[in-house]
Amino acid sequence: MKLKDDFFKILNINKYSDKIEYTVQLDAAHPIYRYHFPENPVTPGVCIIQTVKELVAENVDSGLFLQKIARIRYFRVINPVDNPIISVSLDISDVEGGYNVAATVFSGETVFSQLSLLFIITN
Amino acid sequence: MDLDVDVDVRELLPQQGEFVMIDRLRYFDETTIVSSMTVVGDNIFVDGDVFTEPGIIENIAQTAAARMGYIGKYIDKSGVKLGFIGEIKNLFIERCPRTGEELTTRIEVTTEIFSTVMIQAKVNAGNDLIAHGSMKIAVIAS
Repeated sequence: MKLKDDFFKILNINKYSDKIEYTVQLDAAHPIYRYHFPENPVTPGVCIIQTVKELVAENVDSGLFLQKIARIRYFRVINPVDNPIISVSLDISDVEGGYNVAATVFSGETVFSQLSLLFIITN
Repeated sequence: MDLDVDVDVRELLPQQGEFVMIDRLRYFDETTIVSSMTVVGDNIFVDGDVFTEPGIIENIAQTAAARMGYIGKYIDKSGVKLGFIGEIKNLFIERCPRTGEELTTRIEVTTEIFSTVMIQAKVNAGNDLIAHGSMKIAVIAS
């Protein structure tokens, strides 16, 4: 599944010395929200993982496989109607054969989720 | 209570339509639940013929949710619940399954405090253990 330019689109990118910060817009009319959940749209936790994966892929020249979730914490659910615009900050560090990624999904002072992931280079 | 018969999970989950990521409930007791799902080509998480990582994780979460749904529908009659992933910890994916493979997902409840359930999951494709790890699910009435 590819979510970029469908489920979400990138509005803005800010690169800092230690992180990259994306501003993305969620499409509350996306079919996924008809089913998750009926009349109660909530961004699926797994779609947040996939969004982070696709944003990491924007920064590397290889395919990625999510081999390990060290930890993900979902503090608050994202309702795409109430919070259509969210920020995702990425701290990507090289490890042998892949990348460690620390990501935070937030809006202003509100932190929705924090992810610590290991991706392996697939090609 | 043991369950060794088939139950249609759509009766047990708030997720509907193409976002349902398990097919059948295969076993139920107080601390263990087993679901099964065959990976088909039009699954929304399939790329080419590969069932991608988010699909595997959603399969685990929905197996845990189906347990709560089963309890709500058949045991305490409190109704189907909404389950949200609160935390995922040390979850490893060994490989992504292909279309045509059948996944068997076994969940053990390690802790259950009020509406929060900690689970340990193992996902098999045939004899291969393809994913394993722990998850915390928060449950609310739907």
